[in-house]
This record gives sequence, structure tokens and C-alpha cells, in this order.
Amino acid sequence: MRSSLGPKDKLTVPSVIPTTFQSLQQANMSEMLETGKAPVSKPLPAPSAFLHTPESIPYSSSPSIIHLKRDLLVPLSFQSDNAEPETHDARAAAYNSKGVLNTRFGDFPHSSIVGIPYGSQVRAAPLTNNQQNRKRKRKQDTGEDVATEPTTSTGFLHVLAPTAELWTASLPHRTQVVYTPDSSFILHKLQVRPGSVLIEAGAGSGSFTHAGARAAYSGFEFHKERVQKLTDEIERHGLDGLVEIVHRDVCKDGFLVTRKVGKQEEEDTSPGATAVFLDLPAPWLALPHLTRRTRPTPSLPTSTGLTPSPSPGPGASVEKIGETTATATAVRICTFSPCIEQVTRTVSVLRKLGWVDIEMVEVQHRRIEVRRLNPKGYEDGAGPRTVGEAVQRLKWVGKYRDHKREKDSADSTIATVKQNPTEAWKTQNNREKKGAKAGKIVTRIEPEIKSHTSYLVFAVLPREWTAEDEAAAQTLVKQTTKGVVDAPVDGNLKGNGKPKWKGEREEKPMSKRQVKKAEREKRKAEEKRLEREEEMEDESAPPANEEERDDIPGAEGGNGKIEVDG
Amino acid sequence: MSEERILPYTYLLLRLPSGAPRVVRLIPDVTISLGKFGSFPSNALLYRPYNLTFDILDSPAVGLRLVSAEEATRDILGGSEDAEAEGTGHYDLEIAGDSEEDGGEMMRTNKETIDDPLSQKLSWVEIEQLKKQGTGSGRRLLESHTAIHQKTPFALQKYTLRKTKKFLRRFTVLPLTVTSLTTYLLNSKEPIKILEMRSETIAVMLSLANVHYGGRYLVIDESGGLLVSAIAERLGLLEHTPTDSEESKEQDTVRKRCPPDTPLPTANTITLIHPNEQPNLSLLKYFSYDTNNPTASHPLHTHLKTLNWLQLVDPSADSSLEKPEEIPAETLATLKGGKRAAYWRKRRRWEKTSRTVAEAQNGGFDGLLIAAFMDLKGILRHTVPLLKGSAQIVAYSQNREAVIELADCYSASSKAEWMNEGEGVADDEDGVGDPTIVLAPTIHETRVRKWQVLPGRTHPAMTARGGAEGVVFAGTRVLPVEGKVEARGRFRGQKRRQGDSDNGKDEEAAAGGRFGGQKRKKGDGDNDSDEEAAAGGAGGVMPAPPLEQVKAEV
Repeated sequence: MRSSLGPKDKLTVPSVIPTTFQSLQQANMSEMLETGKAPVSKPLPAPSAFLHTPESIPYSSSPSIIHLKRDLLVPLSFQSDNAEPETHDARAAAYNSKGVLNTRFGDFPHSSIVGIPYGSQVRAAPLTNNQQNRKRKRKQDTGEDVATEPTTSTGFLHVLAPTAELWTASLPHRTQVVYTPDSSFILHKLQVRPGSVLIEAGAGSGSFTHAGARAAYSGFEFHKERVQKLTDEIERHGLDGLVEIVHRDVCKDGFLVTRKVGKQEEEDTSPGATAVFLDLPAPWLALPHLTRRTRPTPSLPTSTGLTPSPSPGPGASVEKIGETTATATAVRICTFSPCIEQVTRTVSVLRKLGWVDIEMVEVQHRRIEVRRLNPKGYEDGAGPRTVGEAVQRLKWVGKYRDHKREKDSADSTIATVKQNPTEAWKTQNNREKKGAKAGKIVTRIEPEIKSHTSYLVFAVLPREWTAEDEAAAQTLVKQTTKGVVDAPVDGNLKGNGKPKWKGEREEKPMSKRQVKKAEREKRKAEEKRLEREEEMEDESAPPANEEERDDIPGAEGGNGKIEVDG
Repeated sequence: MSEERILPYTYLLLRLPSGAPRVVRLIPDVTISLGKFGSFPSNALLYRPYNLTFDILDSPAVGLRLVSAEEATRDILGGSEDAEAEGTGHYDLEIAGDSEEDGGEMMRTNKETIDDPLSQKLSWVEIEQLKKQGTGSGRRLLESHTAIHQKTPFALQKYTLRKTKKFLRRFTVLPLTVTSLTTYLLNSKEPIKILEMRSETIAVMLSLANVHYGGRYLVIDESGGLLVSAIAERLGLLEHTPTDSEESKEQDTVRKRCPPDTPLPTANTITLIHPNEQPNLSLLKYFSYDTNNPTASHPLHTHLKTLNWLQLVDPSADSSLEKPEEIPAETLATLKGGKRAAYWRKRRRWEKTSRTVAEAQNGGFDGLLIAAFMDLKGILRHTVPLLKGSAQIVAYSQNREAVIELADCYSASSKAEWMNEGEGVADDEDGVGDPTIVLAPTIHETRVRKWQVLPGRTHPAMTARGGAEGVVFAGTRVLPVEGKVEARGRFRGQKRRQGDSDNGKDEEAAAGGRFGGQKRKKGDGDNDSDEEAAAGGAGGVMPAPPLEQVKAEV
């Protein structure tokens, strides 16, 4: 199936296998577990059920998601009957015995599930003789009637194809999980797309790993006890061609991947990442390792203004993210920290290391539940629905009391048997039919919301830009364009031959009417001035008056001078 | 990678110091004007990398000056990072009196600060002149402000920053990606045209719909192509290096020569259903794909398939699907060149359309994504049956109500009603059709909150965009088994009262043995109703059809 995608698609699935690392708390781990089993040359990864839904549910190690009911999902892989069922965790094991899935909705032999398409609803198997016998026995013990046991009835479940979201939802919570709202936003913001190389440090439960591998179609991850588990998991899920797991203390040892180069020779190479996700307790310790180039001395870049590249980290650990690919592109980072103190430190270090566009956000997510509200009334043994009902019933209560008193005094045998108010209500307000559309639709928020997951810090490390790069770009520009970069150039650009990029604003040509108006006003002002001069010459006015007069034309001119004075 | 360098004829997003984004198409040899911030020759950006910050040089120099990251950061912060660290003295306590008994400790406050217009010594005219001079005017302004020493350090920094931002002739070049385009359209253009979809909402939709390379997705997009571009990005279809005209010409001729039945890709595709004759995908122009005049080399050209609702719902009524007359080869040879070309063009178009329609109607899609003004129920009614089992359904609406109504159609009671009453019940034009084919409908609301991170002053942004909340409906397409199913299991509320249990048995008989356990539960009161009444369709639990219950009682 996968191979059918191959040749026609423009996309080449990356041949570089991304790395995932993680570590941190285990500062003492000198051992490095690398599961770089992925042959770099493999053009297309083996189809994983996570990335390509098979036509029907296979016997495989990759899990399917069993949907028992809302929010009750169990990951389960189906093995052929004689194989030992493989359990991913205790929870799934509890459901699973000897090729049969036991749930409170019935028993489901694996053989009844395998081979049908994903998304199918599955009926529980009819009870076996053994079970019936057991049940009967129990019932007899409790003295219940055996015959009422409905032997034909079955419950059901749905079998779904695994996705990163369902997998996360069905995860036994081993660690803090990066939930879908967060992971989706991170991947979108980091612009992870097929071919991206993503580093995830602190892979934890692997929920983000699945989502990341899906988006990047190439991938990465890791924790000491967990690394083995995760490696198994990734392998089982068929993602091992996309994800490389490295066990490492990134804060101390950095991000370089040891990869076999040529014959037996090991070399630390840069993963060439374009996106980095750090889920570490102290991301600022790992940041200095994320640099672009090897710098022999940790000196600050020269202030040519052309090298906004970060200074390397302290100490001898000097490495590069990508000498080959990633130097040519910007690198985006996201750190995931629950505490504000972690954020401020991370941001401060990012700023020092030359990352730009730093922003911090948190994602708030809520799920809404929808239901129909059918308020209960007296007939259900509850209170009134409206004031009207309350009033009516109170009236009845009064009448009933009167009636009762009469009855008592008259010593019974009165023909009219009055109902007590509640019964009367029931007979009068026979419950109307309640269809699916009855009642008001109301909403409420899910019972427990995750009011805080973590703070997300995003930043971009722009591509390195040196004086040589600049020179190269300039020559390229000269070759491909008319070469209008620095020098003011003649005016084929736009009309009148003036250089346009000096920030000069072009005067708007005035319309004829405007020109005439301006002339008219000029003429008038001139006349006035002349008049005034004449006046001044004629009568030598007192200075106060003169001032006054001076103000008048100013006011007529309607201008800012007055505003300024005020 | 497209991010590598700024290539000619790509769209860029320029962020000005004021924070206002500006979308610019980089055409070589022209002037890009940024209004009061000045203008510069476009060639100065050509082939330079993204994410860098530049100063516009004042005359007589022309062009741009690259601003280093340190400098840019310092100016954004209004002081260097080191000064920042020291600047935390704001909250430090000052001893007001000589002894603690006297005054004790006091915080430095702004109570001395009086808002007085006279504190600025420069006149209006002088300030105007300064503005014309451009850079550096902010500093002069500060120097002439007499009350500046009264400001607290933070207030001063804020003031400096505000003044610098106003006069700094600086901008940052950002790639126009789906995220930045969304933000731009949302804040500066007409947000209603993209249904006020926020980045986080789009992100959640992509994840919930399980969009990944290699899948086939059915899309209804009335946001002008924003959703399509987001999906295309995830499928790796958005990146396109514009080729020069020669190359594209060559490809055109190649395409014409190739036989008309070139197989179109059957995976990693987007199938768009649109309401008008032609799709509205105008936003794709920012990613160098123009639907009216498509570039043949763009991956979207082959991987994006469009058809309209008429072609999907009632193909026989659509004239564009009628097969054009076939002209035998001999007569064709005698025709004039123009006519022959027109014949082939028409024929190819028909073949492409009919194949798209046939493919769509065959179904088997891996996911359904909807962002529409139209009524969602009708859309789902026609599209959900086209999905593969276990495919994810995601629908966006600006308003909660539309989505809530939709979720209600898939509620447990609706499903029960459908199963009991038969197809007739919910089968009206406004309905969703068979509600049992969608499992576990959920409604998601997500919002991102921005924070300001400065030493000693970290807090959430004071304002954020309001408007449409933006709600996402998510569900899973399932294949129900033939015949009747029964919910059975151990339920929490199984202890039942004596009277109810008898009642329950009777009901069970009446309802043909279906939903027995559930019904009893209902009878019990609201013990457990929360469990399955939530937005509907709990997987293993089919609730009692109330109608049945009523009948049974009668």
C-alpha cells in the first residue's frame, strides 16, 4: 500500500533519520542506548498502522484501540490464537486472556475481531457453556430464576485504528503527558511538515513522539527505565524507521548523534534538526548545545552586524545542530515547562543566545458536553418546574385538606373520592412523550478540566548569515535582476527618474480645482496683507491693536500655530 | 526548504516595530514602501534569509542594515539583558525613615508621578521636526522630558519602549506560513472571511483529524482556502519553489503531450467540495498557487481535487459531467489546430472532473475536515458515508450553537430512536441521516493565551482578541453491525428497587429484549444518567428509548 504512494508523490520522505533524545534527571548515565537500527538508506518506512490504516484488522504487534465507551479506551494488539498475548500494560492485560478480550460488555475472542475493517462495531460472543454453567450456579446459589438469563443478548464495542490522539487518550499515565491541544499547537507552530527533522528531548510517555512522527514523517525521543519501553513501543508501532531513540543527558552531553559513518568508524554528526521540542526540567541547560557551528573558542561573535549567530555553550561541548541542512534554515524551538520560574530562565537564556521572536503562551482547552435537559416535575417525585405548577399544586393541597377534613367530620362514605394532590397531578399531567428532540439542549464543561498543562516558549534561531553569504546574495541579485540594490538608479522603475527608496514621498498631483483654489487663497491673502500694511501706514495704531490684527489672519488661515501656543 | 531564502515573487510578512504586520510580495527591482517608516528597494531583501531584522537606512544612504539579534532583543526589551537583571530593584523595599519605627519599609510607587503636559519641554513643532529626522528621535524626546526621573524603572522602560517603537525604522522579515497568515488575516484583515479561525483551532483540527502524509482527505472549506493550505502543509504539498518561466513552459508542453489518462495521485490528496461552480481558494495565492491559473509544477495542481455539491449529490443533473462528443481520429486530423486543441482541452477537463467525482463517490476517505458557514448537519449527512471505518470527522463552526446542535443529533437517545423507529425518523432533509455511524462525538474549545515574559514582570497579556469562540466538533466514523445490538454490562447503578425491577422486566419484553439493563437504570433515577447522557453515543451503552418506555408503561 505504502509503495503505491511513492513514486508519484512529489514528496521525498527524508532519508535522514531524525533523532530523539532525552534525558536529564539521570545525570549519571554514562551509558548511551542508541537504537539507531534504522538504516539511513531506507526510502520508505514500513507501513505503520498509525500512519496508514490497513484494510482490515491484522494480527500484528501494532495496537488497535478498543473503544468500550466514551473515554474508556484500551490499546490492544491481536495475536494469533496460539501466540502469547502481548500486553502493553497492566490495564490491557486485565482485559486480555488467552486470545479473548474480556470486558464488562461481554467477551470478544480475538478471532472475531481480526479480519474485519477498522471502525467496526463488534458484538460480544455468546456465552460459552462453561460461563453459562458458572453463572447458573451462582444464580442458583442466590436463589434466582435461571430461566430468565438472556442467553442471546450481547454487548458490543468498537475497534478503531490507532492514532496519536487515541493512543494518548488510552495511555496508562506513566508520566506527564503532552495532550493533544498542546501537541497540536506545538507542531503547528514549529511548522513540522513531512521532511522536517524534529528533536524531542524528554520523550516521556511517547505521546508527543507519535504526534510528531505523524507530522514530520520522520522523527525522534527518551528516560532511563522508559527508554527500553519506548523503544519497544516505537518498534511495535512500526515507527522505528521514522524515529530514532537516543538515551542521553542532553544537558550535559548535547545533541550530537553518534552514527556509523562508513566502515566501523563512529562519528558525532549533527542531526540537522529544523525543529526542537524540549520537555525537560531545565531546558536552559540544554540550550547552549543547540548551536550552529563549531567554534573553537567561546568568544562572542564579532559585531559586524552580519552574524546573529549564537555564542556557543560554555565549556568544551561545542556542537552544531546542523552543519549540512539546518544551517541553511531557521530552527524553531518549543520548550514545555510547567513553572513560571523555568520559563523566565529559559527565556533569558534564549535571548542571550541569539534566538528571536521569543513568545510564551499557554493553551487552554475545554471539552463541552451536550445533553438534553428534561426537568423533573411532581410526577417524577421532584419539585415544581414553574411557578404556575407550584401555585396550582398549592391550590390542590388546600382543596384536598378541606376535603379530608369534611371526610373526617362526615365520617366517611362520601361518594366523591378525592385523590391526593400528587396522584392527581400524575393522572392529569401524564408524562408527555419524550423523544430524542424533547427538552432543551444544554451544555456544560467536562467534569475535570486541565486548567494548566504547561507554558510553551517558542523561539526562532534565524539562519546564520555571514559576510560571505551576504556577498554571495548580492552577486546573485546582480545577476538576476536589474541590480537596483544600493545605488539610486535611473527611473525606469517608476516614471520620473527619482530614486524611490530614499523614503521620499511622492507629491500627489493636485487636481485643477485644487490648484485654482490655492491660487485664489494666495491672492486673497496677498490682498489682505496689502490692505493691512496700508492701514498701518495710515494710522499709527497702538501696539496692542497691532497684535490683535496680527492674530486675525492667522486664525483665518486656520492653523496650528495657535494649537501649539495653547 | 522554502525557508532558506527569500526568493523572487514570494509573499513575505514584514513585522513593523509597532507590531503591525504587512504582507508584501517581493518583486525584484521595485520599491517597497512602509508608509511613515520609509521605503527600501526590494532587491535588498532578495535571496536573504528569513527571520532577520533590518533597519531602513536614512538618506543619503539607501538600503537596509542588518540588525543583530542582540541589538534587536535589546531594543525590544528597552534595555540590555544585563540591565534587565539588575532592573529587578523595582520591588526592592526602600527604607523611608531612619529607623524602622518611624516609617518602616515602603515600596516605591508612582504616587509622586503627576501627569503634567508641561513635563515635556519640546514643543509640538520641535517634535514634528524630530520625527522627520527619523532615528534617534526617541532618545531626544526622553532627554527633554523633565519628569522622567520620577518614573519607576519599569515605567521608564515602558515609556522608552513606546517612544522607540514609534520612531524606530525597523522591520523583521518573516516567512508567510499558515500560522502567520492566520494571525495576519485575523488581526489586520477581515477575520470573518476565514470564519475567525485561530491558529490553535486549526492545529487541533489537524491533529484530531489525524492528518498525515499519505492520507486522502475530504475537505469542505469556506474560509477561502485557509484550511486547505493548513492541510496541504501537513501533507507536504505547500512548498513550491517557483521555477522561472522557461521551465514552467517546458512542463506545460510536456503536460499537453502526455496522454489524457495520466493517472492522478490516489494518495496524499485533498478533495474539496465547494458550493459554487468554482472553488474559492483565493488564499492559496500566498503560497504561489492560483486556482484560476494554476502552476503545473505546484504539488497542489495534482493533489488538490475539487468538485461541487451538485456533482457529489446529484451528478446526473450536472451538465459539466456530460461526456463530450467523441470525434473520430480521422475527422480530428482534418480539424484546424485551434479546434483540435479546444476539443482535447474539453475532453481532458471532462475526464478529470468525472474521475474526481467518481473517486469521491466511491468514498474510502481517511478523514473529513469542515470549516463552513453552511449547516453542518447537512454536510455530514452527505459526507460521512464516504469515509472509511475509523476515519476521523472534524467540523469547525464559529458559533457554539451550530456544533452543539450537531452533537445532539448524535446523542444516545437520537441513536436509539433511529434504531427503533427505523430509518424514517431522523431521515429529514435537515438531519444528519444515520446517527449510528458516528461514534463518540466531542466538542472542543481551545484558546491560546499570550504572556509577557520580562524579568520581574511576567504576566498574561492584558488584552486578547474576542469575537467568535470557535468550536470544533470531532467524531469517528464507525461501521455499525447489522441487526440489533444490546448494551449489556455491569453498571454502577445496578441495585434496583423491587418495583422497578418488575417494571424493567416487562419493559424488556416489550422492547424486544433490547436495552434491558439500560432501561432499568433509567428507571432508577439519575444515578448513572451522567455516564451516558453526555454528548451522546457512549460506546457500549445504548440508553433506553424513552418512547419505548412510555409504550411499555401504557
